[in-house]
Amino acid sequence: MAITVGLALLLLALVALIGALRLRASAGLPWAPVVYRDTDAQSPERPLIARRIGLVGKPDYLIQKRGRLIPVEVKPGRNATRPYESDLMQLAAYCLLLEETTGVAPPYGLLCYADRTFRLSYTAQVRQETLALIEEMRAALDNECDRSHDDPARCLGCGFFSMCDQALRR
Amino acid sequence: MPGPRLPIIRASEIGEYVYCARAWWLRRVAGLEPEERARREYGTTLHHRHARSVALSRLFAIIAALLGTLALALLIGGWMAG
Ligand code: SF4
Repeated sequence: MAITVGLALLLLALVALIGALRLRASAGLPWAPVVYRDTDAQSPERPLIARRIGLVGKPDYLIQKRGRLIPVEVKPGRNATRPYESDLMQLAAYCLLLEETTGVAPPYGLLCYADRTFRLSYTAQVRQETLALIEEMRAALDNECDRSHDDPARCLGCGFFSMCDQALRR
Repeated sequence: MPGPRLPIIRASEIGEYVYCARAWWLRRVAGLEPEERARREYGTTLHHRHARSVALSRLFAIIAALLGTLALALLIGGWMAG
């Protein structure tokens, strides 16, 4: 009797494990402990603050892999075969924040779109580019900032389209 | 002695600036609000759904571990008794 019940429970355990792995895979996250989650309205996390460089932010998740923290940015409504530069730079900013606040640079960050997850290697060059962007933005706070592309499709998808004097109209 | 406080930049602003520097400036400096409320709300819903999947996957893993442990205890006990 005990053996029959034991086998039934073992089967149920297997079903639960497969369910767990499938759910995690559908979320685009690797199987690793989640130590920070800002996607939940009930328990909003505190932002990471790097006063030295004047940068703040809340990554969607921080997961732990081989003892290192990895930032994860989730764009569940986005479908694309290549990651957007804007999303990659936002993720790079989380990598920089993590480095500044913990003293340990993450080896990479993850960007989860609806059905694909991309990896951004956090190299010295990415770090430099992110710092340069922050400097550029800070300088732009005191100046008028112009459109930085020539892509009408981008304007069409922009929330400022109807009120922007520099919008590109087809 | 600490230097003057730097104006704070949010990580999400960096994404916006790379998308279009003007869009970032219109919001941050000119103080305009983009017309994308419906899309933003939908994005929030998707984020919550994502969080639920991640939390559920953890719950299922805990259930699997508990059931597995119980199953092994029963199987070992059964074999030893039999
Ligand atoms: S509508 Fe204006 S702010 Fe938006 S992308 Fe076009 S130029 Fe930039």
